[in-house]
Amino acid sequence: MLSLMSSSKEEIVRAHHTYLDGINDARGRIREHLRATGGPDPDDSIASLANVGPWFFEHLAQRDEATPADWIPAWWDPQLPPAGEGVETHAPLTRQQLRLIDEVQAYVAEVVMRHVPGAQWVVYKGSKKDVRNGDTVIQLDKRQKFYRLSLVYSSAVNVVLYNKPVRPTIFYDVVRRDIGDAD
Amino acid sequence: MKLDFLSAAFSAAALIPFVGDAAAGIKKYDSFIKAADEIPSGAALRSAMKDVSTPTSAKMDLLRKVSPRAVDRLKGADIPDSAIVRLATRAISAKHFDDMVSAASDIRKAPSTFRLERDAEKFLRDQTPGALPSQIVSSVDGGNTKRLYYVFVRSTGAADEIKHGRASGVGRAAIQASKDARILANPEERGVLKITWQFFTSANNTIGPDQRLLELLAEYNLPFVLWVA
Repeated sequence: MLSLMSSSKEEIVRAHHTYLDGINDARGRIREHLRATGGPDPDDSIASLANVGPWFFEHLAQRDEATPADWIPAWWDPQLPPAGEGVETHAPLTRQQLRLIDEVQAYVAEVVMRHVPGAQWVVYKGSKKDVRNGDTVIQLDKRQKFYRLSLVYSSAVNVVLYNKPVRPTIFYDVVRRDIGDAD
Repeated sequence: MKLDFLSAAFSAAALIPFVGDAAAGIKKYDSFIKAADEIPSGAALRSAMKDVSTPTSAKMDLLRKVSPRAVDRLKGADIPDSAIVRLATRAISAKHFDDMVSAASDIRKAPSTFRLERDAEKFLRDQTPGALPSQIVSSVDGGNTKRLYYVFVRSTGAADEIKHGRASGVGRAAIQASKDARILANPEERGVLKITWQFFTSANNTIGPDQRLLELLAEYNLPFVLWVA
């Protein structure tokens, strides 16, 4: 995963815009992906996340879907080769899994933006040692942020790498909780 | 009163030459250490390990009797007998030594002892692929509770706490362990998915959690690694 905590302001701004430039593509891809696999209806409702979660974890285990060989998400460190390509790497996920995460985090973001008036994309600014410094996150209200990528990516790593149980409805549960917490 | 008696008994026993009758010597130490199990300080084990007239092989035989699981784990990790005896020389007790080593999620050979914690941190960071170049802070409870990790790999969410020498389960380490448990309770939001406590041998040959911290690490399901030098 790309870490920008030690990056310059210019690099952070560039990464922010690169991410936002690619989010519409990811939203289009997940709709196509859901349609092609008989997945749930992506109607942008919060309730739809309760079905997208199980679909995500089911497809996370699949390895037969084609992914362009040179594609990586904007939030991934381009110096770190994905797993499963015969190259030495400490990356825990394959390119296909990164693509699936990219699609789902974009959909989660879309749902949140639609249901929280005034929500906007911002660059996270925290203490010097905060690993999220420079990340693109959603500002829900004056005090609360929403970390859609961390939510989806961490859920995937917990399942794939650490073999930990993750609630299939975790996206729905977290979004409901955080939207409820927002002013 | 009991301590005084045991201490005096051990002092007298230590005067009996070991060379020439190793088996009898081992039996003597073995029975003494078992009798002295109730001494929290583990003075009997330490004294036996420090005895310069006892060969390392005999000390290992003794350790196999009083801390068998620890010896198996350490030998399995290719730790030399001399290093095992050195550790036992500073053990809290034979039982604690056995419990601590057998509870470790991994035993690794360190290239040397480390004089300072930051030296161990640099070593671990160099050993960890993808480690960020600096320590990181993670937080829970809306930022009210903060926790600093020495080494962190963002792509795997693996964070490391470093302890140098012996760490006590009272005070700072106990608070850190409880914070770790809270951070891992909400891993999907913070990106910290696994926390490993890494214990390094200090220059005075102490290493690992004391009994209380050992219990806390088990209670919170926090794995720990012993880097033995």
